[in-house]
Amino acid sequence: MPYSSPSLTKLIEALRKLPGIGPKSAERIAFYILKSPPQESEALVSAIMEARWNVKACSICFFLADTDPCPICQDKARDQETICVVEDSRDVIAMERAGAYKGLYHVLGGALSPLDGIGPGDLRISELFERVRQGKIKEVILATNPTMTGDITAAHLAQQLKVMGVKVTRIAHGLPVGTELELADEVTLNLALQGRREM
Amino acid sequence: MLLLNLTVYGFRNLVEQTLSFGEGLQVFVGPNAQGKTNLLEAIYTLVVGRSFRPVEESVLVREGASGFRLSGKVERRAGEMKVVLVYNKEKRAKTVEVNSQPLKRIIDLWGEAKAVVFSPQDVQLIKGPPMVRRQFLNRFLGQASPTYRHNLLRFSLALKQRNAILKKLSRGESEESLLIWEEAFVNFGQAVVEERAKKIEILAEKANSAYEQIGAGDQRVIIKYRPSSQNLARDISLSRQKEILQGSSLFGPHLDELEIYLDGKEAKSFSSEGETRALSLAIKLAEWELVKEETGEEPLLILDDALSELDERRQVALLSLLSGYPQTFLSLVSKRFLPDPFSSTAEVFYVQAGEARKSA
Repeated sequence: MPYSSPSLTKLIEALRKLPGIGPKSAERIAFYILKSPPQESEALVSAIMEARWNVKACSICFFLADTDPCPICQDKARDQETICVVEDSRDVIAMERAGAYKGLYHVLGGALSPLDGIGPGDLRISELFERVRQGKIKEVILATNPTMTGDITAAHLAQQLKVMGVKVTRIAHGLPVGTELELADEVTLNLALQGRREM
Repeated sequence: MLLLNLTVYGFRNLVEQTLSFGEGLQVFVGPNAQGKTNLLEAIYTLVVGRSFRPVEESVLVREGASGFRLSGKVERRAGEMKVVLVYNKEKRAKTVEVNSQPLKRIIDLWGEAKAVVFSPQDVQLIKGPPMVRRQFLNRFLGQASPTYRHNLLRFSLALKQRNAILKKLSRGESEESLLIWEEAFVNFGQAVVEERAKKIEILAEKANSAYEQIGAGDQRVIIKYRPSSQNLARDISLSRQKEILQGSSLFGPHLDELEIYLDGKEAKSFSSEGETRALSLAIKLAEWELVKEETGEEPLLILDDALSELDERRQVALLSLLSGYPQTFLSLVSKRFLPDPFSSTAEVFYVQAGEARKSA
């Protein structure tokens, strides 16, 4: 790249490696950093380093946290008999933000996708089974994404969990809140009907 | 559905322009290589999300431009909507917005807007390889039914994943998720096959009457659906070893075929040039009817160079038929192909050097 400064080129190249950042954005961010006071850069660097050293996956549920076990696994007030299985740590954050769930989590670290070389051995599936085998768990809620790979992962887990004598549920998919029926597409409506419950 | 206006930028040889359209026949007239087909292509691409010609997106970009942008206002039963389709050549990325809301996938546009096109290349529908007919089926059923879109999308994903597993097995590695992917492959595949079977039967009926309507002749049109498997679950379990050996799925809707007959003779081998064109046009008109029946929305009808090879009697028959559609876009080499009374009721645009001008 035709920059006069090798340091600037290095910064831009490093930024470009971040997800969702193209060459133009990398350039814009680099120039922003150079224009802002040095303290801000220092704060950014230390925030990155701090997170890098302190944050690790919880050895029980694999949620990212500063402590091991994570605050959620340590919280005895939470329902210790229910595990909610999600693909990613970000899903835990979303669930916690919603605030309605008071049980434990298990972060798989992705979904089954042979195309991307992800098989059952590449996810934290055996760790989940181990937690269930210990006997305290009564219900496993499968909250993987309602995508093809998420659905398949849930089906795969359900098959094996059921023989362990634990209740297995799948989060409902259906109509977004506030949608009127006539505006919903056919596929969503069918799923919503399939997942109906008695009142 | 009506396309009320179209703004093109950076598309093929077209100069930047905005055109407004009315109901009924909208005719683009002009000599060859001026941009008539490109205008039809721009309309189709805006509404369906991709060209009807088998080309890479980058080919659609005007020389020297960094991408193209198509936008237009569409009137439909569910209300007016503004569609904006942008292709960025550098990023090789296409995005589409409906009423300022970005759609997650281009294919989602099929749920919002519909169009049926007939072009000289559609003889491939009769004479070309099976892939052309499968693409036709998917585009047509995808516009007709959201359930089909969903099942097809899921089947295609399951197919790719299953093939990846079969390749892995063929290398002697193990993969325990094969059965669960196979279940999805079979279920979604079977759903695609069932809907194809049901809709092709209706399509065949409609194509038969359309063939007569356009004055092509009184031969009987028969379209037969030939799924590659009658029982997907059985076939894949019987030929597992062979599939592992080849590392790919040998049965499924991705290998289905359509057979088209005129009076009992397979059109692929026996139909004349004129019969082939008439037959593919009849199938497209049948598609239009079916999409309308399934969705309640009348698709735009787009015909590229449909009249030039017909004799005068058939031209008039076709034009009268087309006048009955809510909105039809038509390209013609010369206005002499547009006899009275059509020339007075149609909206005519003269196309020259990539620019269309409405005739007064």
